[in-house]
Amino acid sequence: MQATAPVTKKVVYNDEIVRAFSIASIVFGIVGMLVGVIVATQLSFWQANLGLQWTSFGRLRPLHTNAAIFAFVGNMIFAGVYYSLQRLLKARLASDFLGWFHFWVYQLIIVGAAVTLPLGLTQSKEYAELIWPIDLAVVVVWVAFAVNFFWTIARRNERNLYVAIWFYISTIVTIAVLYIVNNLSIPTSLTHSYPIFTGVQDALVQWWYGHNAVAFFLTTPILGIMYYYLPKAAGRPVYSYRLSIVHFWSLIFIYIWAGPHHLLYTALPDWAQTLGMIFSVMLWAPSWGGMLNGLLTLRGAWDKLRTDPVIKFFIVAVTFYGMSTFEGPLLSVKSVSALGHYTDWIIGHVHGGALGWNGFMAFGMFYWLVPRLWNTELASKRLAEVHFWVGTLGILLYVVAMWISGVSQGLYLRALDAEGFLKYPDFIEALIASRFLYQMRLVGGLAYFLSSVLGAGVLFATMAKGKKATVSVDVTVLKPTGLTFRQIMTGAPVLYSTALVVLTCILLATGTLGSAFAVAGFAVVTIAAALSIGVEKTRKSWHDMVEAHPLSFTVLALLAILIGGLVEIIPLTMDRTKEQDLAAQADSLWTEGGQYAFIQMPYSPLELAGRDIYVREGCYVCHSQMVRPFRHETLRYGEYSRAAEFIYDTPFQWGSKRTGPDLHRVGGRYANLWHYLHMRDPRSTSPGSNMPTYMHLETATADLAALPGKMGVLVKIGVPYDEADIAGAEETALSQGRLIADDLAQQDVELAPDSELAALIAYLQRLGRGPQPTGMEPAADAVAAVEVQ
Amino acid sequence: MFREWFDKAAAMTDWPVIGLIVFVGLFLLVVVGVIAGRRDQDQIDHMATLPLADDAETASTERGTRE
Repeated sequence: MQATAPVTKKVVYNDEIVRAFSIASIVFGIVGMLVGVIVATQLSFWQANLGLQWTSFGRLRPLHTNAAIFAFVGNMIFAGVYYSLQRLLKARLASDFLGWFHFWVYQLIIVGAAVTLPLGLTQSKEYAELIWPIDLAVVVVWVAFAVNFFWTIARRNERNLYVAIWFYISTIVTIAVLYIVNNLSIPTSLTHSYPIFTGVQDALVQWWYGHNAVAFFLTTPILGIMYYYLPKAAGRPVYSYRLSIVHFWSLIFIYIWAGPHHLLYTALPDWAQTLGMIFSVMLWAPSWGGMLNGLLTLRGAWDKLRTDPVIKFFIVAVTFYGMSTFEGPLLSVKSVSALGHYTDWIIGHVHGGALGWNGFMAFGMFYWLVPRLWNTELASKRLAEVHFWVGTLGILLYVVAMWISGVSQGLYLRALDAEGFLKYPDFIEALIASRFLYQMRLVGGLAYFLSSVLGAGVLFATMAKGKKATVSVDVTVLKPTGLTFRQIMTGAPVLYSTALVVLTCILLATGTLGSAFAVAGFAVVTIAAALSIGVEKTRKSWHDMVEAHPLSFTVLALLAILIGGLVEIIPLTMDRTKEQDLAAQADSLWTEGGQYAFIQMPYSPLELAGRDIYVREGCYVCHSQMVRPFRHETLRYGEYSRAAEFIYDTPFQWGSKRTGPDLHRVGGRYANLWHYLHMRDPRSTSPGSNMPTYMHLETATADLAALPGKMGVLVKIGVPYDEADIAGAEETALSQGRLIADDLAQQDVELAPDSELAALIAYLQRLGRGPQPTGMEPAADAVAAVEVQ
Repeated sequence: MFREWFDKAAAMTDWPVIGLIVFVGLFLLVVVGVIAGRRDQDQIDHMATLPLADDAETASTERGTRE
């Protein structure tokens, strides 16, 4: 038989798309950081809110986070992926059209976010604030990206997929799952919707998403970029390819479970909290394995650290990755979370990762990439060095300020005196004590921003002095591998894994006989696995085959990330039906013995309107609605929060940071007049507060006409409004507004009953307690004004 | 239906334990597979050096060509 000669061909890479994403990332990065500096200024000087509703902290902060994550890092990821993917596969991007479609629609989405978020159009889920039409556009773009990505893989001229591509694959499949599930909602209008999840379920799904947005958008694609660009910059292969296999599979499997660590000591069931904590601590191992694999890639080339700004950025970025992934699990330990949660410590932790890991990886990559894309030398190495040192100083100032501020806040707010009562009962004192540290954070953030402007200048100067390069390479055309999906999915590791899962379920789900069977099964599987290692030595490596079969690889990665999500979310969804059963008996429980039973009843129409205003203004950015079961919290805020109380809360408003106090039990704590004055000028009731003014709420009219439509949607989600409630919603809302307006009128304050401020006051007065009088329905009002027998 | 199945199959608190055992088992399988499983060293070296392999590419601009 005659061997056929290998066929070669010339491949011309599509680097135009890489250039476009690079420029977009640099430009939007500067914009996102500028908004960050503005919101940091607002926290130090409340006047920087400018008294405008569109520029208040609650609306700009989501703009900052979205711009930094999706505009800056997102565009950087796409640039990095499109460049490395083509070279690692020795194939041109499959579709130029899809590439440009991806680019332009993605930029439109960013512009859409920049317009809608300051307008207060938000879902109020952190990092998922965008309204549903934009969410749909994101899904379309992601599909276009995925199709182009996998199509390029299908046309590859390299047999196996390099480790960087594994991380890209995990990003694509996981973000698709997370984004779709977390954004499941029912629209009430073109710009508003309610999530289909409520209360505890909504919180778990949101932080399953929120945590894994960090994991699979800010970490795994950047790790892929690290595995490609760091060896390129160092001129050395990755330290250990074997370690990268362990790193990849263990990281993606564990990461997905860790979401509940954002909800420790909340009303989330304890088992889910413990699960989140355990898996977070386990994350130490793969994270540090990956970090060491990155750092040790520089073995024998550490001298470059002195001379090459690219290496400087990469090494400090990987070091910050190590620090952040040490700090994250630490903060996930329940006792540490008890101190650090809701404080600035979390802000410091997040920015160590965002500025150090993401920001420096981005600039390191661009300093390496831009000269090659424009076929020239870097415009100024010296200025790049200045960027590096000023940026590093900025990060350190920022995170140290937030660490000190956060730990101080945690200690301050939990301090008890000798009698066991709050040593510092006034929340505002903790805020005032942090003022200097907020200013220090502002200086650090400003330094980082200015250094980035300098870096952008160097990069644009490099582009200006060079010429766009068209890169081509001669490649040997890949012959079909002959591997089949079935061949891989019936391989020994898959069979052993399936056996393990089945036996574990049998062990825990059945009685003595089943357990004995399962234990015997474990023994058989272990022996078989040990024996198969010997057999394996005579055959081709299974993982080698998986690397050469993208479909199998993708399916296995999907399974790895699905297990954690399913195990956490499904039991809790089952739990929800029990909560609903309980809530259905609310009337009887409410009046039982005349005691306050903490069973939630649906919001009145005006309270619902007020809640939507609370969401629109981004109050959750600074105020939590979750009293944790600690003495210092119950003394400060009232009874700790219970899961059943949130059954009709959609979207949930638990928050993640307390720049202001918790509001879950604020209902009835202050008079309507107090709230009126507080919203007009927070410092009139809380001297030292940095809260923006909300005078526009006084003159704006609440959209009461939209209430029937909104309540109709809530009925579909499971909120028990009846037809009469919906039909009379507007009238009931006005009636309740009049009660508030009349109360204020007795104190010489004039407020329209249908004003947004009246609605917000109604909502705030309802928080943490049962239905309030609406002046319309004696039967319903009677529940609130229940007579103690 | 699913609720009943879940209630029958295992107490809710068993799910974390199931998750933990599955993870530890699979993790051990991966580690053992990577360390003890046979793999062609040349293939590993080839994969590890893949990012460096494209250094032979040709970049051309209006000004000229760079190897």
